[in-house]
Amino acid sequence: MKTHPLTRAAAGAAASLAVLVPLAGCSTEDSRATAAPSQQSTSSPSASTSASESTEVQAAGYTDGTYTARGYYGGAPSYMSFTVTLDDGRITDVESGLMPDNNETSRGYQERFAAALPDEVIGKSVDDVEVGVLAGSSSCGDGFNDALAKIRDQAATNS
Amino acid sequence: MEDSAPGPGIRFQFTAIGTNWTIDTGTPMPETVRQEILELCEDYDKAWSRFRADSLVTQIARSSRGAIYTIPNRDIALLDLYDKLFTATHGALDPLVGRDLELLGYDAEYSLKPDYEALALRVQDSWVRDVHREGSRLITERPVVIDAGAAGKGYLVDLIGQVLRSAAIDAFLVNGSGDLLHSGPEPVTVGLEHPTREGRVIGTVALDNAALCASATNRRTWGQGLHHVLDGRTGQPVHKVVATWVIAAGTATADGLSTALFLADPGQLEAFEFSWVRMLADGRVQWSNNLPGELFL
Repeated sequence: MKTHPLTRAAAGAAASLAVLVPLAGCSTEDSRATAAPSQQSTSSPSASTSASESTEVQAAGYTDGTYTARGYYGGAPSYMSFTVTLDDGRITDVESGLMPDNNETSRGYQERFAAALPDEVIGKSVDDVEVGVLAGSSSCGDGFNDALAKIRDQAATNS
Repeated sequence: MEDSAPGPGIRFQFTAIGTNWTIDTGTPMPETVRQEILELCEDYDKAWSRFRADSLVTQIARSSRGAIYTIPNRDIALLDLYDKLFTATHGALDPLVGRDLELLGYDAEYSLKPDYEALALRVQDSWVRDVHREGSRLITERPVVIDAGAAGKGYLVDLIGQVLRSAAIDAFLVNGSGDLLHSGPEPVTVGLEHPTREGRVIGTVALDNAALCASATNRRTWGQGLHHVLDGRTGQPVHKVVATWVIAAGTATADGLSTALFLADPGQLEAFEFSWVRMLADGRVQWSNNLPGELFL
Protein backbone atom coordinates (compact mmCIF):
# COMPACT_ATOMS: atom_id res chain seq x y z
CA MET A 1 0.00 0.00 0.00
CA LYS A 2 1.39 3.37 -0.92
CA THR A 3 1.36 6.08 1.72
CA HIS A 4 1.61 9.73 0.99
CA PRO A 5 3.47 12.27 3.09
CA LEU A 6 1.63 14.86 5.10
CA THR A 7 -0.05 17.48 3.03
CA ARG A 8 -2.07 20.49 4.07
CA ALA A 9 -5.29 19.04 2.69
CA ALA A 10 -4.72 15.80 4.52
CA ALA A 11 -4.07 17.64 7.77
CA GLY A 12 -7.26 19.59 7.34
CA ALA A 13 -9.31 16.57 6.53
CA ALA A 14 -7.83 14.65 9.44
CA ALA A 15 -8.75 17.43 11.83
CA SER A 16 -12.31 17.45 10.60
CA LEU A 17 -12.91 13.77 11.14
CA ALA A 18 -15.53 13.39 13.80
CA VAL A 19 -14.27 10.24 15.44
CA LEU A 20 -10.80 8.95 16.05
CA VAL A 21 -10.35 5.45 17.36
CA PRO A 22 -7.22 4.05 19.01
CA LEU A 23 -5.15 1.82 16.81
CA ALA A 24 -4.58 -1.54 18.44
CA GLY A 25 -2.25 -3.27 15.97
CA CYS A 26 -0.37 -1.36 13.34
CA SER A 27 -2.23 -2.67 10.31
CA THR A 28 -4.41 0.03 8.84
CA GLU A 29 -6.14 -2.38 6.55
CA ASP A 30 -7.45 -4.34 9.49
CA SER A 31 -8.72 -1.31 11.29
CA ARG A 32 -12.42 -0.93 11.42
CA ALA A 33 -12.34 2.58 12.74
CA THR A 34 -15.36 4.52 11.71
CA ALA A 35 -15.31 8.03 10.47
CA ALA A 36 -17.90 10.45 9.34
CA PRO A 37 -18.94 9.37 5.87
CA SER A 38 -19.00 11.69 2.90
CA GLN A 39 -16.44 14.04 4.25
CA GLN A 40 -14.91 16.04 1.49
CA SER A 41 -11.17 16.22 1.53
CA THR A 42 -10.94 19.95 2.01
CA SER A 43 -9.63 22.00 4.85
CA SER A 44 -12.18 22.62 7.53
CA PRO A 45 -12.75 26.23 8.60
CA SER A 46 -11.10 25.69 11.93
CA ALA A 47 -7.87 24.34 10.51
CA SER A 48 -5.17 26.77 9.69
CA THR A 49 -4.52 27.08 6.00
CA SER A 50 -0.95 28.09 6.49
CA ALA A 51 1.57 25.36 6.94
CA SER A 52 1.91 24.31 10.50
CA GLU A 53 3.59 21.50 12.26
CA SER A 54 0.68 20.64 14.47
CA THR A 55 -3.06 21.12 14.47
CA GLU A 56 -5.27 21.39 17.48
CA VAL A 57 -7.61 18.49 17.82
CA GLN A 58 -11.24 19.54 17.96
CA ALA A 59 -12.54 16.92 20.31
CA ALA A 60 -11.03 17.10 23.75
CA GLY A 61 -9.81 14.28 25.94
CA TYR A 62 -7.79 12.10 23.58
CA THR A 63 -4.90 10.36 25.19
CA ASP A 64 -1.62 10.52 23.37
CA GLY A 65 -1.01 7.81 20.89
CA THR A 66 -1.45 6.82 17.30
CA TYR A 67 -4.93 6.74 15.84
CA THR A 68 -6.34 5.74 12.55
CA ALA A 69 -9.57 6.56 10.87
CA ARG A 70 -11.14 6.43 7.46
CA GLY A 71 -12.59 9.34 5.64
CA TYR A 72 -15.02 8.50 2.89
CA TYR A 73 -15.54 10.88 0.08
CA GLY A 74 -16.61 11.16 -3.45
CA GLY A 75 -17.72 8.01 -5.23
CA ALA A 76 -18.63 4.93 -3.25
CA PRO A 77 -15.53 2.76 -3.17
CA SER A 78 -12.97 5.45 -2.51
CA TYR A 79 -11.75 6.36 0.88
CA MET A 80 -8.68 7.75 2.48
CA SER A 81 -7.17 6.29 5.56
CA PHE A 82 -5.50 8.60 8.05
CA THR A 83 -3.14 7.64 10.79
CA VAL A 84 -2.58 10.48 13.21
CA THR A 85 -0.26 10.74 16.14
CA LEU A 86 -1.44 12.75 19.10
CA ASP A 87 0.92 14.26 21.55
CA ASP A 88 -0.41 16.38 24.34
CA GLY A 89 -3.66 16.98 22.50
CA ARG A 90 -1.97 18.02 19.29
CA ILE A 91 -1.65 16.11 16.06
CA THR A 92 2.05 15.81 15.57
CA ASP A 93 2.03 13.52 12.58
CA VAL A 94 -0.42 12.46 9.92
CA GLU A 95 0.02 9.76 7.41
CA SER A 96 -2.57 9.27 4.77
CA GLY A 97 -3.05 6.42 2.40
CA LEU A 98 -5.22 6.22 -0.64
CA MET A 99 -6.80 2.78 -0.62
CA PRO A 100 -7.30 0.95 -3.88
CA ASP A 101 -10.83 0.00 -4.78
CA ASN A 102 -10.40 -3.71 -4.29
CA ASN A 103 -8.56 -3.85 -1.03
CA GLU A 104 -8.46 -7.54 -0.27
CA THR A 105 -5.44 -7.34 1.97
CA SER A 106 -7.19 -8.91 4.93
CA ARG A 107 -6.90 -12.20 3.03
CA GLY A 108 -3.67 -11.04 1.54
CA TYR A 109 -3.26 -11.57 -2.13
CA GLN A 110 -1.08 -10.47 -4.90
CA GLU A 111 -1.97 -9.91 -8.45
CA ARG A 112 -0.16 -9.97 -11.67
CA PHE A 113 -1.63 -7.91 -14.42
CA ALA A 114 -1.74 -8.88 -18.02
CA ALA A 115 -3.77 -7.30 -20.71
CA ALA A 116 -5.03 -10.32 -22.48
CA LEU A 117 -6.29 -13.86 -22.38
CA PRO A 118 -4.77 -16.55 -20.17
CA ASP A 119 -2.78 -17.63 -23.21
CA GLU A 120 -0.55 -14.70 -22.44
CA VAL A 121 0.55 -16.39 -19.26
CA ILE A 122 3.33 -18.47 -20.74
CA GLY A 123 4.39 -20.52 -17.76
CA LYS A 124 7.07 -23.17 -18.21
CA SER A 125 7.22 -26.41 -20.08
CA VAL A 126 6.73 -29.48 -17.91
CA ASP A 127 10.02 -30.70 -19.29
CA ASP A 128 11.79 -27.77 -17.70
CA VAL A 129 10.46 -28.24 -14.19
CA GLU A 130 10.83 -31.03 -11.67
CA VAL A 131 7.33 -32.02 -10.76
CA GLY A 132 6.03 -35.19 -9.24
CA VAL A 133 2.46 -34.74 -10.38
CA LEU A 134 0.33 -32.33 -12.36
CA ALA A 135 -2.80 -30.59 -11.18
CA GLY A 136 -5.16 -29.31 -13.81
CA SER A 137 -8.88 -29.42 -13.78
CA SER A 138 -10.34 -32.88 -13.60
CA SER A 139 -10.23 -34.77 -16.79
CA CYS A 140 -13.80 -35.15 -17.91
CA GLY A 141 -15.61 -38.36 -17.22
CA ASP A 142 -15.74 -40.89 -20.02
CA GLY A 143 -19.42 -40.29 -20.58
CA PHE A 144 -18.86 -36.63 -21.19
CA ASN A 145 -15.93 -37.18 -23.51
CA ASP A 146 -17.87 -39.70 -25.57
CA ALA A 147 -20.82 -37.39 -25.88
CA LEU A 148 -18.63 -34.50 -26.85
CA ALA A 149 -16.93 -36.58 -29.50
CA LYS A 150 -20.33 -37.60 -30.93
CA ILE A 151 -21.51 -34.03 -31.07
CA ARG A 152 -18.39 -32.91 -32.84
CA ASP A 153 -18.80 -35.67 -35.38
CA GLN A 154 -22.39 -34.67 -35.95
CA ALA A 155 -21.46 -31.05 -36.33
CA ALA A 156 -18.80 -31.98 -38.84
CA THR A 157 -21.16 -34.05 -40.97
CA ASN A 158 -23.99 -31.52 -40.74
CA SER A 159 -21.93 -28.57 -41.82
CA MET B 1 6.30 -37.15 -15.98
CA GLU B 2 8.17 -38.53 -12.99
CA ASP B 3 6.46 -41.05 -10.84
CA SER B 4 5.42 -39.26 -7.71
CA ALA B 5 4.95 -42.17 -5.37
CA PRO B 6 6.37 -41.77 -1.94
CA GLY B 7 8.73 -44.64 -1.29
CA PRO B 8 9.33 -47.36 -3.88
CA GLY B 9 6.33 -46.22 -5.86
CA ILE B 10 3.50 -48.70 -5.79
CA ARG B 11 0.57 -47.54 -7.86
CA PHE B 12 -3.04 -48.65 -7.69
CA GLN B 13 -4.96 -47.50 -10.73
CA PHE B 14 -8.74 -47.70 -11.08
CA THR B 15 -11.87 -46.05 -12.41
CA ALA B 16 -14.45 -44.59 -10.09
CA ILE B 17 -17.25 -42.00 -10.24
CA GLY B 18 -16.71 -41.80 -13.98
CA THR B 19 -13.05 -40.89 -14.01
CA ASN B 20 -9.53 -42.21 -13.52
CA TRP B 21 -7.80 -42.54 -10.17
CA THR B 22 -4.34 -43.47 -8.96
CA ILE B 23 -3.16 -44.12 -5.44
CA ASP B 24 0.58 -44.22 -4.89
CA THR B 25 1.74 -45.77 -1.65
CA GLY B 26 5.06 -46.40 0.06
CA THR B 27 4.09 -49.90 1.09
CA PRO B 28 2.05 -52.33 -0.98
CA MET B 29 -1.68 -52.05 -0.55
CA PRO B 30 -3.26 -55.32 0.56
CA GLU B 31 -5.96 -56.65 -1.74
CA THR B 32 -8.53 -56.21 1.04
CA VAL B 33 -7.78 -52.49 1.19
CA ARG B 34 -8.10 -52.18 -2.59
CA GLN B 35 -11.46 -53.90 -2.41
CA GLU B 36 -12.59 -51.68 0.42
CA ILE B 37 -11.71 -48.60 -1.63
CA LEU B 38 -13.52 -49.85 -4.73
CA GLU B 39 -16.64 -50.67 -2.72
CA LEU B 40 -16.53 -47.29 -1.03
CA CYS B 41 -16.37 -45.55 -4.41
CA GLU B 42 -19.28 -47.58 -5.77
CA ASP B 43 -21.38 -46.90 -2.69
CA TYR B 44 -20.57 -43.20 -2.85
CA ASP B 45 -21.40 -43.05 -6.54
CA LYS B 46 -24.71 -44.73 -5.82
CA ALA B 47 -25.61 -41.90 -3.47
CA TRP B 48 -24.34 -38.82 -5.32
CA SER B 49 -24.16 -39.47 -9.05
CA ARG B 50 -26.50 -37.52 -11.27
CA PHE B 51 -25.68 -39.91 -14.07
CA ARG B 52 -27.10 -43.20 -12.89
CA ALA B 53 -30.74 -44.14 -12.65
CA ASP B 54 -30.34 -45.99 -9.34
CA SER B 55 -28.74 -43.20 -7.32
CA LEU B 56 -30.27 -41.35 -4.39
CA VAL B 57 -29.75 -38.06 -6.22
CA THR B 58 -31.71 -39.35 -9.23
CA GLN B 59 -34.43 -40.62 -6.94
CA ILE B 60 -34.76 -37.16 -5.38
CA ALA B 61 -34.69 -35.53 -8.82
CA ARG B 62 -37.28 -37.76 -10.48
CA SER B 63 -39.77 -38.08 -7.66
CA SER B 64 -43.24 -36.80 -8.40
CA ARG B 65 -43.31 -34.79 -5.21
CA GLY B 66 -41.22 -33.94 -2.14
CA ALA B 67 -40.27 -36.58 0.39
CA ILE B 68 -37.96 -37.46 3.26
CA TYR B 69 -34.70 -39.13 2.26
CA THR B 70 -31.82 -40.55 4.26
CA ILE B 71 -28.26 -39.88 3.22
CA PRO B 72 -25.37 -42.02 4.47
CA ASN B 73 -24.12 -40.87 7.90
CA ARG B 74 -20.69 -40.99 6.36
CA ASP B 75 -21.65 -38.06 4.08
CA ILE B 76 -23.30 -35.65 6.51
CA ALA B 77 -20.10 -33.61 6.64
CA LEU B 78 -20.25 -33.15 2.86
CA LEU B 79 -23.59 -31.40 3.16
CA ASP B 80 -22.33 -29.42 6.16
CA LEU B 81 -19.54 -28.20 3.91
CA TYR B 82 -22.04 -27.18 1.26
CA ASP B 83 -23.97 -25.21 3.85
CA LYS B 84 -20.78 -23.35 4.73
CA LEU B 85 -19.85 -22.71 1.11
CA PHE B 86 -23.36 -21.55 0.26
CA THR B 87 -23.26 -19.03 3.09
CA ALA B 88 -19.77 -17.78 2.30
CA THR B 89 -20.58 -17.25 -1.38
CA HIS B 90 -24.01 -15.73 -0.65
CA GLY B 91 -25.71 -18.53 -2.53
CA ALA B 92 -23.49 -18.45 -5.62
CA LEU B 93 -22.24 -21.95 -4.80
CA ASP B 94 -25.40 -24.01 -4.62
CA PRO B 95 -25.72 -27.80 -5.02
CA LEU B 96 -29.16 -27.28 -6.53
CA VAL B 97 -27.67 -26.04 -9.81
CA GLY B 98 -28.12 -29.65 -10.93
CA ARG B 99 -31.36 -28.75 -12.71
CA ASP B 100 -29.73 -25.77 -14.40
CA LEU B 101 -26.87 -28.00 -15.55
CA GLU B 102 -29.41 -30.42 -17.00
CA LEU B 103 -31.24 -27.66 -18.85
CA LEU B 104 -27.98 -26.35 -20.24
CA GLY B 105 -27.30 -29.82 -21.60
CA TYR B 106 -25.11 -31.43 -18.96
CA ASP B 107 -27.76 -33.99 -18.12
CA ALA B 108 -27.68 -37.70 -17.30
CA GLU B 109 -27.76 -38.55 -20.99
CA TYR B 110 -25.03 -36.01 -21.82
CA SER B 111 -27.29 -34.53 -24.45
CA LEU B 112 -25.09 -31.41 -24.33
CA LYS B 113 -27.87 -29.41 -25.93
CA PRO B 114 -29.42 -26.48 -24.07
CA ASP B 115 -33.19 -26.55 -23.68
CA TYR B 116 -33.75 -22.85 -24.33
CA GLU B 117 -37.52 -22.98 -23.84
CA ALA B 118 -37.22 -24.54 -20.41
CA LEU B 119 -34.35 -22.22 -19.51
CA ALA B 120 -36.50 -19.21 -20.28
CA LEU B 121 -39.06 -20.43 -17.74
CA ARG B 122 -36.52 -21.57 -15.15
CA VAL B 123 -36.67 -20.18 -11.62
CA GLN B 124 -33.60 -21.09 -9.58
CA ASP B 125 -33.84 -23.47 -6.67
CA SER B 126 -32.10 -22.51 -3.46
CA TRP B 127 -30.21 -24.88 -1.19
CA VAL B 128 -31.30 -23.18 2.01
CA ARG B 129 -34.90 -22.76 0.98
CA ASP B 130 -35.71 -25.88 -1.01
CA VAL B 131 -33.86 -28.56 0.94
CA HIS B 132 -34.30 -29.01 4.66
CA ARG B 133 -31.75 -31.07 6.53
CA GLU B 134 -31.71 -32.68 9.93
CA GLY B 135 -28.56 -34.77 10.32
CA SER B 136 -28.86 -37.52 7.75
CA ARG B 137 -32.48 -36.71 6.90
CA LEU B 138 -33.02 -34.64 3.81
CA ILE B 139 -36.48 -33.25 3.22
CA THR B 140 -37.73 -31.83 -0.05
CA GLU B 141 -41.07 -30.37 -1.05
CA ARG B 142 -40.71 -31.08 -4.75
CA PRO B 143 -38.15 -32.69 -7.05
CA VAL B 144 -34.75 -30.99 -6.97
CA VAL B 145 -31.47 -31.99 -8.64
CA ILE B 146 -28.46 -32.09 -6.35
CA ASP B 147 -25.15 -31.68 -8.14
CA ALA B 148 -22.29 -32.70 -5.89
CA GLY B 149 -19.65 -31.59 -8.39
CA ALA B 150 -18.31 -28.69 -6.34
CA ALA B 151 -16.87 -30.75 -3.47
CA GLY B 152 -18.05 -34.32 -4.04
CA LYS B 153 -14.90 -35.76 -5.56
CA GLY B 154 -12.70 -34.13 -2.95
CA TYR B 155 -14.86 -35.59 -0.22
CA LEU B 156 -14.40 -39.05 -1.67
CA VAL B 157 -10.63 -38.49 -1.76
CA ASP B 158 -10.75 -37.77 1.98
CA LEU B 159 -12.79 -40.92 2.61
CA ILE B 160 -10.18 -42.94 0.72
CA GLY B 161 -7.47 -41.30 2.82
CA GLN B 162 -9.29 -42.47 5.93
CA VAL B 163 -9.41 -46.06 4.62
CA LEU B 164 -5.67 -45.96 3.98
CA ARG B 165 -4.84 -44.60 7.41
CA SER B 166 -7.10 -47.17 9.08
CA ALA B 167 -5.06 -49.79 7.26
CA ALA B 168 -1.88 -48.26 8.70
CA ILE B 169 -0.82 -46.88 5.31
CA ASP B 170 0.51 -43.43 6.15
CA ALA B 171 2.55 -42.56 3.09
CA PHE B 172 0.35 -42.05 0.05
CA LEU B 173 -0.68 -39.77 -2.77
CA VAL B 174 -4.32 -40.12 -3.80
CA ASN B 175 -5.01 -38.60 -7.21
CA GLY B 176 -8.65 -38.37 -8.23
CA SER B 177 -7.96 -36.98 -11.71
CA GLY B 178 -6.40 -33.81 -10.44
CA ASP B 179 -7.71 -33.73 -6.86
CA LEU B 180 -4.73 -34.66 -4.73
CA LEU B 181 -4.24 -35.77 -1.15
CA HIS B 182 -0.72 -36.24 0.12
CA SER B 183 0.48 -37.94 3.28
CA GLY B 184 4.01 -38.90 4.21
CA PRO B 185 7.48 -37.74 5.16
CA GLU B 186 8.48 -36.30 1.78
CA PRO B 187 6.45 -33.50 0.16
CA VAL B 188 5.62 -33.80 -3.51
CA THR B 189 6.09 -31.00 -6.04
CA VAL B 190 2.90 -30.32 -7.95
CA GLY B 191 2.87 -28.57 -11.30
CA LEU B 192 -0.09 -26.27 -11.90
CA GLU B 193 -1.19 -27.16 -15.40
CA HIS B 194 -1.77 -24.24 -17.71
CA PRO B 195 -5.46 -24.40 -18.61
CA THR B 196 -5.01 -23.50 -22.27
CA ARG B 197 -1.38 -24.25 -23.15
CA GLU B 198 -0.71 -27.94 -23.39
CA GLY B 199 2.41 -29.25 -21.73
CA ARG B 200 2.99 -26.16 -19.67
CA VAL B 201 2.63 -25.24 -16.02
CA ILE B 202 2.04 -21.79 -14.58
CA GLY B 203 3.82 -22.64 -11.36
CA THR B 204 4.74 -25.32 -8.86
CA VAL B 205 3.74 -25.83 -5.26
CA ALA B 206 4.98 -28.08 -2.52
CA LEU B 207 2.26 -30.40 -1.31
CA ASP B 208 3.12 -31.56 2.19
CA ASN B 209 0.50 -33.58 4.04
CA ALA B 210 -2.27 -31.55 2.52
CA ALA B 211 -4.76 -31.56 -0.34
CA LEU B 212 -4.68 -29.71 -3.64
CA CYS B 213 -7.57 -29.31 -6.05
CA ALA B 214 -7.64 -27.65 -9.44
CA SER B 215 -10.56 -26.48 -11.50
CA ALA B 216 -10.83 -24.93 -14.95
CA THR B 217 -13.85 -24.11 -17.05
CA ASN B 218 -12.29 -24.63 -20.43
CA ARG B 219 -11.95 -28.38 -19.97
CA ARG B 220 -15.59 -29.26 -19.60
CA THR B 221 -17.24 -27.04 -22.13
CA TRP B 222 -19.79 -28.13 -24.69
CA GLY B 223 -20.75 -24.96 -26.46
CA GLN B 224 -20.17 -21.24 -26.64
CA GLY B 225 -19.87 -20.12 -23.03
CA LEU B 226 -21.34 -23.40 -21.78
CA HIS B 227 -19.43 -25.02 -18.96
CA HIS B 228 -20.11 -26.68 -15.67
CA VAL B 229 -19.46 -23.92 -13.12
CA LEU B 230 -22.77 -22.19 -12.55
CA ASP B 231 -23.74 -19.33 -10.30
CA GLY B 232 -26.56 -20.69 -8.18
CA ARG B 233 -28.32 -17.35 -8.08
CA THR B 234 -28.67 -17.08 -11.85
CA GLY B 235 -28.14 -20.62 -13.11
CA GLN B 236 -25.61 -19.22 -15.59
CA PRO B 237 -22.02 -20.26 -16.28
CA VAL B 238 -19.57 -17.74 -14.90
CA HIS B 239 -16.99 -16.03 -17.06
CA LYS B 240 -14.68 -13.89 -14.99
CA VAL B 241 -12.49 -16.69 -13.62
CA VAL B 242 -11.11 -19.45 -15.84
CA ALA B 243 -8.92 -21.59 -13.55
CA THR B 244 -8.33 -22.08 -9.84
CA TRP B 245 -6.05 -24.09 -7.57
CA VAL B 246 -6.52 -24.50 -3.84
CA ILE B 247 -4.40 -26.09 -1.11
CA ALA B 248 -6.11 -26.95 2.17
CA ALA B 249 -5.83 -29.53 4.93
CA GLY B 250 -8.70 -31.61 3.53
CA THR B 251 -9.59 -32.44 -0.05
CA ALA B 252 -13.30 -31.75 0.33
CA THR B 253 -12.50 -28.22 1.46
CA ALA B 254 -9.90 -27.73 -1.28
CA ASP B 255 -12.34 -29.01 -3.89
CA GLY B 256 -15.22 -26.85 -2.68
CA LEU B 257 -13.02 -23.78 -2.51
CA SER B 258 -11.58 -24.40 -5.97
CA THR B 259 -15.16 -24.01 -7.19
CA ALA B 260 -15.98 -21.18 -4.80
CA LEU B 261 -13.14 -19.07 -6.21
CA PHE B 262 -15.06 -18.92 -9.50
CA LEU B 263 -18.10 -17.61 -7.69
CA ALA B 264 -16.78 -15.34 -4.96
CA ASP B 265 -13.77 -13.27 -4.09
CA PRO B 266 -11.15 -14.71 -1.75
CA GLY B 267 -12.08 -12.14 0.88
CA GLN B 268 -15.48 -13.81 1.23
CA LEU B 269 -13.87 -17.14 2.07
CA GLU B 270 -12.04 -16.14 5.21
CA ALA B 271 -13.86 -18.76 7.29
CA PHE B 272 -11.59 -21.32 5.61
CA GLU B 273 -7.85 -21.95 5.95
CA PHE B 274 -6.29 -22.30 2.51
CA SER B 275 -3.86 -20.98 -0.04
CA TRP B 276 -4.80 -20.45 -3.65
CA VAL B 277 -4.12 -19.32 -7.17
CA ARG B 278 -6.63 -18.21 -9.74
CA MET B 279 -6.48 -17.13 -13.32
CA LEU B 280 -8.96 -14.63 -14.68
CA ALA B 281 -10.35 -14.42 -18.20
CA ASP B 282 -8.59 -11.10 -18.74
CA GLY B 283 -5.21 -12.72 -18.21
CA ARG B 284 -4.61 -11.61 -14.63
CA VAL B 285 -3.31 -14.16 -12.18
CA GLN B 286 -4.00 -13.76 -8.47
CA TRP B 287 -2.57 -15.75 -5.60
CA SER B 288 -2.55 -15.78 -1.83
CA ASN B 289 0.46 -14.49 0.07
CA ASN B 290 0.81 -17.83 1.82
CA LEU B 291 1.18 -19.91 -1.34
CA PRO B 292 3.86 -22.56 -0.74
CA GLY B 293 5.32 -22.39 -4.19
CA GLU B 294 6.33 -20.23 -7.10
CA LEU B 295 4.54 -19.00 -10.16
CA PHE B 296 6.10 -18.52 -13.57
CA LEU B 297 4.44 -15.32 -14.67
